[in-house]
Amino acid sequence: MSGIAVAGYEIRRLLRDRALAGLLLLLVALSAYAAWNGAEWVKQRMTAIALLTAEEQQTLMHARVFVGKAPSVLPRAQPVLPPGAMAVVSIGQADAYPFTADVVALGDGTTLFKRVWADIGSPTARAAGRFDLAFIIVFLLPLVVLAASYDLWARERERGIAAMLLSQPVSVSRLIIFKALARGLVVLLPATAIIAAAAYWAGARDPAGLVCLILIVLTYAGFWLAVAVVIGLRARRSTEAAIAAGAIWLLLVVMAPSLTLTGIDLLAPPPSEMRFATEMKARLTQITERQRLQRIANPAPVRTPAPAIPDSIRDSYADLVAADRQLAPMLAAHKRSQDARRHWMDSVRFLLPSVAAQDALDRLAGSDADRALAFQSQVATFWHQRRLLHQGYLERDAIQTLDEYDSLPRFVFQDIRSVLPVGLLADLAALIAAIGLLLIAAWAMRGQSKTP
Amino acid sequence: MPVRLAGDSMTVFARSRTLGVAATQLTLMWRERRVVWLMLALLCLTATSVGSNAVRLSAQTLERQAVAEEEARLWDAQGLIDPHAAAHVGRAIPAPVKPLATFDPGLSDVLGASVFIEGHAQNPARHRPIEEGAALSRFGGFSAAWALQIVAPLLLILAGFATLSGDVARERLRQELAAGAPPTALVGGRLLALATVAGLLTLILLGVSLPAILLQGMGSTEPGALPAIGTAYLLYLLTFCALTVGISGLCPSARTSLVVLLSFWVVATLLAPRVAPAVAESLVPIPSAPAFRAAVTAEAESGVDGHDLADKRLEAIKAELLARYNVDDVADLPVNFRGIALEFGERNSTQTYARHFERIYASYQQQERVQRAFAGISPTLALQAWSRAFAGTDFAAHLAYLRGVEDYRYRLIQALNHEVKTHKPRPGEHYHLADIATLSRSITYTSHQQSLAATVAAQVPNLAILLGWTLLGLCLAFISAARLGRAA
Repeated sequence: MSGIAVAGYEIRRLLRDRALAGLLLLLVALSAYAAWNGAEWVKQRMTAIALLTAEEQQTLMHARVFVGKAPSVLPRAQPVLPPGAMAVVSIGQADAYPFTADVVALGDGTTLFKRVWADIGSPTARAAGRFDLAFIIVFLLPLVVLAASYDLWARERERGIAAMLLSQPVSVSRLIIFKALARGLVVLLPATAIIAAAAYWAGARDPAGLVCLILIVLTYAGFWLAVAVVIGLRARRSTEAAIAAGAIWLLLVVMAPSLTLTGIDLLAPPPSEMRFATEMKARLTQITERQRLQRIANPAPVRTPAPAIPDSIRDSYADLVAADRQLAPMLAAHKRSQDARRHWMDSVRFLLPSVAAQDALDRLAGSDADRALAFQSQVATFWHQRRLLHQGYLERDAIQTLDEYDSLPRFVFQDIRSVLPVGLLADLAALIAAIGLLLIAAWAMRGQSKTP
Repeated sequence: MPVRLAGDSMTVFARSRTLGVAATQLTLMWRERRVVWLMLALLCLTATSVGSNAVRLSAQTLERQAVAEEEARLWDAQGLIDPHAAAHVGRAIPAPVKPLATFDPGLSDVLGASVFIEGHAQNPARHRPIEEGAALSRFGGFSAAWALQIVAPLLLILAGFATLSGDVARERLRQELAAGAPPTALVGGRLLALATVAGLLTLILLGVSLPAILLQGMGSTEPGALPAIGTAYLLYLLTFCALTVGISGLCPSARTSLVVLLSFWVVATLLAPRVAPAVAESLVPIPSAPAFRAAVTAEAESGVDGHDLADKRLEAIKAELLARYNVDDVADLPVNFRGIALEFGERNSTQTYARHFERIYASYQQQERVQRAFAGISPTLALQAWSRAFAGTDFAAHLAYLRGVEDYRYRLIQALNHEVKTHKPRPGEHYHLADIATLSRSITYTSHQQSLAATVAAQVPNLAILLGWTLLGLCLAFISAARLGRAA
């Protein structure tokens, strides 16, 4: 009996199974709804960005009348983080990080994201988690794969066909490999096509992104097919296999990530944002008061002839810069705590296939933490540049001209990542390694499959 | 009389048969060990989650106390300043930590932990624990409540899917029926055995949570809320027991029974709780944060904000005051017109903000009603809402906090404005200066909490849904018994 014959038999058997068709139809419906949800989210985000951009433009226009009346007019800017080309795939961490900022050149750096209003969407929906394509892929696709392949070898054993099959001139390993491949062909390929089509329909049209999505789906579904192979080698009854499949799904997709997060919360608890805000306020109040008293005690000498820009403005700016310098260690310590926690969360994903898949999808969609942090970093640089502009006018003792005002630099987010960013490649590598481990386990267990 | 006696003895006989069947089923489950191991695993995981939640909540309580004290110190330390400048300095009011969040954290992670109060604006709560995460953050939320809502039904399904439909079970049933056991006693006994497991599980998981809850300190509502939570979970798990026994009796094979029950479990506990809020959000859309902010600030700013003395409405007030006191200039008024403008502006902006926020809250409530409709396919949705409400971790509890903070903010800011209004600046000074600590000493913030009666009233529909599901499950079990009787 050739491998192709085994696969052919298996495919015919699967195609006759109405439950599989039902399962795939359910996947079509759920994927379409999830993709639509993703598209709606992108639409809402784009509308919000358009509003912020219009507001910024309006502020720029209104502030124009003040040019010449102050050393520099640097109106409030509202930089935005646009959704990525594949954003419909995963909303990921996009709601957990600010997508806009409030850049006031002469404000303090801690208020860049402080005044930005948080997400005001339904708290129940946020607590339940987004129903996006990433949810379909990470949570439901494994159930589809397991439902279609949990009885890979158990059914033959249960019905007593295993003994007959084993008497045929084909090795059991070959038999199971071709059965698994056949199931992969009948379940994985349509499921991948459904998800990719749903993403394309919802607006994810980037060809490289779509290829990447297909790669992630196939790798992750491949992992679950490998799980089904291991279950198939061990289980003797289909109910036993179903229970094992359900338990493994619950463990790998729900319990293990959740408990890992609990562990990280204990080992590296998130730094308290509330306490940090209060401590910053207290420190800033202290610094400002000290500066005020110093200025009273040591007034700046009056220059003759008087400069075009009064020295009091230079003093205020010097105080701002000094305050920033004094606040910097606190900010750095807070950032270190945040980074340490994120580092833990990023590292453990390699041990948890479901988290690796989620991370890969987030990175593909541009809704990952790294992109949000890159935005924050670019905003901080932009704010700093604005301050330097002001400093330039003070140093040159030259008041800003209208031409200079009109050519003020605008913030544009620089998406510097490639099609396959390192993080995403690492996720794929983790998934492939997990498949490899499962196949090694299956190879070690192959003896168990020979007993009918 | 003899007829009644015979009837009574039949009832006692049936009851003792039911208890006998239940005892046998429990012995079988104990011997099979599958359920015992799963229960133990669940217990360990839940204990871990409850322990870590307790540690987290204790830290949060200390942190919020420290923040509240520091904010109060900073507020009082402003000393002698213009009261309106103090309104711009503002202060943060942390949210209270709910002791029952140890058992059911509910929405705590997605709701802001503090509100920054200031003049002219009503800010939304900030510092949501869900912020600044990574991909792993999407997998959070494991708690004792979650274990009872999601994992316990699965455990009951695994323990009971073959109770009436497996080959071995069928053989045993034939023997029991041949021995004269009534079908109702056979089905009832199996249901009782599963219900005992469910009851034990609920008691153990609540028992595990109790020390952690006590550690956080019980308030006035918690002693009443705990029994309400326990009862709802018992009803919920009884529903799954009845459905499991009913479907097991109606399915031709254990495999079909398992597939049907697992499919129901997936839909009821995994899909519906995630699809329902998403559908509710689509049907009752909420504006994006920038759109909401733009709308509310546009309306608030188009009114009087207290700084724009030329505003038309303010002009009318000014004219009315000048006429009342028969003077030509605001400087001649016996009151500080700046304070009057600030008072008016604050009242106006507060009304605007309140109107917009109430619209959002009404949308949330509408969304909850849409989600409740989904409880028709998932009892988990009704239980989730009930559990969160009594644990004080739902949006209604958060709203009580927000309203309390807003009430305090308004009283505080208007007290500052009143001080400005009643004191004119000294000659040569721009503003009247006042000691902020003395001025605001009598204005205190008290945490608002929903009463237990109000929670019960709000949750009656969810209880009705849960009862409906329990009845449906019991009906299925009864139908299964009737079919078994016909087969005998």
